[in-house]
Amino acid sequence: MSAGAKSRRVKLPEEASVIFALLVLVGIVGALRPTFLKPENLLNLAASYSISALLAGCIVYLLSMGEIDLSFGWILNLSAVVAGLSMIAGVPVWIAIILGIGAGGFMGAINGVLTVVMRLPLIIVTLGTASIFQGLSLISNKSGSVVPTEKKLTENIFFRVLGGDIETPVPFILIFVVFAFLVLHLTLHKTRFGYRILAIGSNPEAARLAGIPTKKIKILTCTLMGVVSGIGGILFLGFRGAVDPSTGANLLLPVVAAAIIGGTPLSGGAGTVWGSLIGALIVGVIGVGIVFLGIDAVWSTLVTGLVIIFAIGVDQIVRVRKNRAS
Amino acid sequence: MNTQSVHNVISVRGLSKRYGGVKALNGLDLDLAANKVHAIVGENGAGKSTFMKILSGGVTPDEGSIEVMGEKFSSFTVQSASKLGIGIMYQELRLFQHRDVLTNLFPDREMRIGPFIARKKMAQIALPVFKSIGLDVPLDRIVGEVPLSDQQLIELARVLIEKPKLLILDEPTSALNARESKRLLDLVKALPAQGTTVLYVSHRLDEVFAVADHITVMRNGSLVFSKPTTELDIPTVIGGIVGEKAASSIAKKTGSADLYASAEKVLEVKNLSNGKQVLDISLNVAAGEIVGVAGLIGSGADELLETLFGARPKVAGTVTVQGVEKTHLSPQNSVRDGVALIPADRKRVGLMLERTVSDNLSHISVGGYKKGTVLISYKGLAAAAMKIVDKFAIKTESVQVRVGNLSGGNQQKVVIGKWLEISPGLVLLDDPTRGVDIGAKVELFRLVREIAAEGKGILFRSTEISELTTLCDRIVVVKDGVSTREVIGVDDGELIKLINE
Repeated sequence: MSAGAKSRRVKLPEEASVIFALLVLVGIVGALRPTFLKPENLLNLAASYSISALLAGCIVYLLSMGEIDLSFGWILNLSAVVAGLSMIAGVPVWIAIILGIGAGGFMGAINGVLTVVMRLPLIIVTLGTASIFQGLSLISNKSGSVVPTEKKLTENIFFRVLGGDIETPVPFILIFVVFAFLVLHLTLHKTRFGYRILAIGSNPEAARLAGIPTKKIKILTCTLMGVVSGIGGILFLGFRGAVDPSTGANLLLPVVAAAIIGGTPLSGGAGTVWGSLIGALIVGVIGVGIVFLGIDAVWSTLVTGLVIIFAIGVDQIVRVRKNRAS
Repeated sequence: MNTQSVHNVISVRGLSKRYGGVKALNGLDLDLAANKVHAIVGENGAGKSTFMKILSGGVTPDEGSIEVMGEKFSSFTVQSASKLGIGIMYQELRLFQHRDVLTNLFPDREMRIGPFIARKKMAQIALPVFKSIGLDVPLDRIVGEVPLSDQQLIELARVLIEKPKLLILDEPTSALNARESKRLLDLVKALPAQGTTVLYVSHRLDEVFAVADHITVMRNGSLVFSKPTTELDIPTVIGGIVGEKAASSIAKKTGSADLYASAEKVLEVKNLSNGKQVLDISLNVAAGEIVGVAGLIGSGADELLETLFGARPKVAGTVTVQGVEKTHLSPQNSVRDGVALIPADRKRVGLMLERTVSDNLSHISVGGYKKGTVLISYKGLAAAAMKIVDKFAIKTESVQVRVGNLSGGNQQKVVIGKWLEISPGLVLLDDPTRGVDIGAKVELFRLVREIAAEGKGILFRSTEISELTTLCDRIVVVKDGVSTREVIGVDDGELIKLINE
């Protein structure tokens, strides 16, 4: 990664331990139920967890900045509702998609402006806006599902590709999300925007004194979270073909869990985008693996919680050891 | 560029700055010649740091003019300072602890190829600078994992990379050991030849004489004198720093060896060590006695009081409080045994700034002292708080005012007041006058003497030499974590020599 270091030491990537944990989990489930390891099954698993993975890749930005957004699930929902209703109203599909993503970006920007203007942590602001977005969604969808059923719509290439009507060797949604991760990774770890986010998360006062426009960066990062949630909403609409009033309601845990399990601390200043992808897959393997093992699916939430505590615990032990050593 | 700019990098005239009622700078006139190492010395509160903050653009002066390299400024901002090539290395580190070394060297000034950060390019610039200051840290190491002394050098490298015309160093050796300090001093001495003028601020006079071409002494916000080092010696500089005491209202105490001999010992410390800063400290405090702790920053004097209180773990030695040897030191046990700590950093550890005076005055007595009551009576607390406010003459409209709204001196009285509520036998005062103006200081001293007169033992740590010589019956000198000697009735000059030798 650091091209400048001349004496290149052999160094494992920081994601190594998470990758190892993922392989162990897959190995355990695969050993007990060999059908789990079939490529099509693994691809399906990855595809169905790809949206929460995408959101995890972006929540890493906020965690790195020392903030957390609680509203992204409802941004996703409302964006999908906006796009779906527009399509049903006769707006061309591609314009409706842009409207949906734009709505997501707008909601993210509102979160950002509120947190900067009111000088409150984002967690508090989004506690409120989450309900506002959910409320707006319920008002516009009249508490029912939004389902674009017209043939003209369902036969649009957007729905056919995402929904799997057109066969691709690898689900399209997966290709898209992997590409998005590449962009998210490069932006956070290789550009000035990303460096500024990490600087704010590490030491806000020093960031200000270094001349970083901290307020602007906060608003931009929140807007990015909104845009990505909006994209998530569009992907959901295309993948499932409908938006329910409860869509996005249960995203907070798997998404934040994926980022934390992946190795991003809640305290800010550090983060790993690739780690969150692995984290999302771990959450996915737990969820699907439990079904494969014949355990009631209701257990998966509990197990995810245990894995979070385990991941944070290991991380904390390593940190305390390091502090003692220095 | 006109010819004048060659002579003076900085010329200030009539520079003044007030904070509330206190004059931090009082009509300062000063010229700093180019390509020299200038040292600025003076007591805390002499105006050094205000002057530096003005030069870096962080503080706006009330009056006066600043001329930088021949260009006159009426207002001076952080941007104009950095554009003119004024680099400042602060005493407190301004690093991003989670980020790697290279990232910290170019805070928001990263070089890029297209949109991407060009680490290779930055490394090419950083490595020669690292070499020149003898710093050997991998550029991809996380700063938080690097020793503090290296962090200080990283901070220096960060400033040097900008190739400043004027480099301001505020106590740059405070986290360095003797060998590292020497390396840094050699480096600083070489800077003028490379076109950098240095403004060096330090309490350590030996360093100042080793490094500076020119020494400027400040007192009470004004210039005392500014002369080439060759025309000065240490006693002259000390004389300039101390001056005639402005606070002559605080009569000096005479050393009382009798008191120490006759009274019962409140505190006996033998060979105390916390394994890090405090290595081998022995001292005694008798009832009614004020014992001072003198030592440079980094000498272990800073950590001594917190270790005694149990806020830092001790690894060796014995501590006996009022005749009982304490096996386990912890803040909780200390409160129980009647030991009070008035901490140096009152904003961080001494006060709840968002809460009221009444809440602050009562939280220790509520939390650990008065047993047997289940429900808290707010009326009772307010009444008790009122009594303390009256006794200590704390200036506040009512006890329901937020402590954060009080002045520094009054905040400090609240901290002392809340601890006296548990009627301690031993009071540990850790640099209580930091950030407190002269008037409040006089009152604090009166208070400390009253407390001692009630028969309590007081251990008093201060970074200001004159406070120690004025207030204390006895002074323990601490150097490199070891208590080297005890003195009675010394004057400021003698004591400065003792802690510096």
